Amino acid sequence: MHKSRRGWLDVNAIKKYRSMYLFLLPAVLVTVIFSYVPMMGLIMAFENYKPRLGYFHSPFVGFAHFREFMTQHDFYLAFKNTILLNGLMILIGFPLPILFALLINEIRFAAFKRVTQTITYLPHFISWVVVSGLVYIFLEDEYGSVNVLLQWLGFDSIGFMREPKYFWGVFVAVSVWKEIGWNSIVFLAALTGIDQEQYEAATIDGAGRFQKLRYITIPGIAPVIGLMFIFTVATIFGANGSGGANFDAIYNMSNPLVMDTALTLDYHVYMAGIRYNNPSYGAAVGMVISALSLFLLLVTNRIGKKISGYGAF
Amino acid sequence: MGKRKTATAADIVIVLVMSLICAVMLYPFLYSLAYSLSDSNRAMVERITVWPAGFTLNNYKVVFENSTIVQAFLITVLRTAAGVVYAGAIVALAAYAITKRQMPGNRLIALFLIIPMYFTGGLLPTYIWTYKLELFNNPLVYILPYGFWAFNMLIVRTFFDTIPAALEESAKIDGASDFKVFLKIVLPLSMPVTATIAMFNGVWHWNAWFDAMLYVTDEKLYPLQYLLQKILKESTLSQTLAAQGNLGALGNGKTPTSPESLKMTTLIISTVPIVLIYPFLQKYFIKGFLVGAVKG
Repeated sequence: MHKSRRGWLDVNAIKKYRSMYLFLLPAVLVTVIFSYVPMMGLIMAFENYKPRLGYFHSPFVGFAHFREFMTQHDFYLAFKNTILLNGLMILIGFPLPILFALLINEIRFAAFKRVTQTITYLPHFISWVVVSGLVYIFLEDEYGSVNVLLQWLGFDSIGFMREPKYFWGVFVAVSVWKEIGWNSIVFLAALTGIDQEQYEAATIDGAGRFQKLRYITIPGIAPVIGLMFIFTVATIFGANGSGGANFDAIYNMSNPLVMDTALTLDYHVYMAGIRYNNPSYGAAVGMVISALSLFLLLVTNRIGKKISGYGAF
Repeated sequence: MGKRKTATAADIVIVLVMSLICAVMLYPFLYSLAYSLSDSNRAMVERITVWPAGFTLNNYKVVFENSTIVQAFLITVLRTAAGVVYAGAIVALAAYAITKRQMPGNRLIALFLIIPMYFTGGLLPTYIWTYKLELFNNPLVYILPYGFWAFNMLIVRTFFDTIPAALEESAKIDGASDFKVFLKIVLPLSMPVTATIAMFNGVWHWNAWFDAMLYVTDEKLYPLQYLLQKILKESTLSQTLAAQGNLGALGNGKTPTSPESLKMTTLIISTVPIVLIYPFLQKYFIKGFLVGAVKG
């Protein structure tokens, strides 16, 4: 070991770990084939890509597709919707799981607590296909439970899934319903990490429930809140395929009638690139989304580190 | 905490609020279940809440006798099983190797594997490349691309780091190979994290439909979620499937299954397997988050 301090070209050390390299081989192969090769494929964003001609013979057009989407009405619409819908999701969907975790933490009956957790995690495991199916059934104009309830209360029924103006509200509500329990887990985990002696000391000093919440609980989970906020903001462009208004959710929840508010960036990539068969244009928009996501992640991470001393990496 | 024995007003309010939230979470599923167990004719005219109207298993019989739906169910089961084993093995092996910090090039390889978490080629290059690999209308398209998530590797590595090195070393002194140490010592000690990763991957595969929409036109290869999406979005398909199921039932006095009942029953079938599994794994994935939160 002592003489092997010469970095990664040390033959003896490499020999010693040769089975470890073998263990890493499948992961490296899969990553190269299914992640890095498509990354190289981004070259098509600068071409008029034709499958027949391939990457090497398709005509090179430089930044033409990037200039093209700057003039596209759909691109601006998708960009605006992505920012506003995700902004709304963060505004409402981010604080609620924290509040929910605090509430669960206050439950004193262990069995009730466990059952509550199990039940509220349920929707997270259900596919967006099923969830949107349920949403359309429950928000149906005449027989849907929500409109039946509205009529019973003396209101007119609402065409939730037919008018663009309702889409964001419905989407945020459904997302909160689906993920509030699941997203609270990480905050609950942070809550159990708080030193219990602090609470006992506070009780002796005569602190009430809300004072403990204000001075012990919230400061105790603040770093985790900060970290989760970074992740949430960083994924608003949906490039990571999860969280926020991602493609899976939007595609299943939307229909042609509400496209004015439902069209988001990755939906636009899918429609333009695959449905309307313009792969180079789709790749160009996809590349911008990917770059924006990375940029956002780096910026929020830097800010998070400055404020709380915690960063994702 | 827990000093007070009697429940205060605040405790009661919390329990009430939580019960209401739980009801809102459960109601859509109970409603669908009740509908799928109801007589089709009565379900259309009566208001169903959580109790079936005219209990019958006929809808399930129709669905399970429909070869299109059964085929899709089978495809989903197969892709989930294969996908979980494939991705689980690749990630566990990689995570174990990555715990060896003295290994030359360790940090470089880790970085190489983690970069795609933050920057990807995106939909179009992936689509074109999948076409070039001749994976269109090939069941392998459901499995091969999903072998490695760096995020899962980081979770598993965090867990492996807690296993005492002395255990591995003593086995190696006894002459066990690296692979044997991994298989016989590290893996058995890592059931919580293995189960968590298997569940993440399993749920993902079970619920996946987008790859089928992109790459598969052969109806025999449709997974259940994709077929369900088509049933829910295209009214003609649910009518056709319901009609197929009712052909055999003609004249036996049973109410034919309506397209609505067929939708509900397929929806329940595509949901129940996951609902039955995740509560048993709950303590594992919560532990996984705990490790993450403490580390973070």
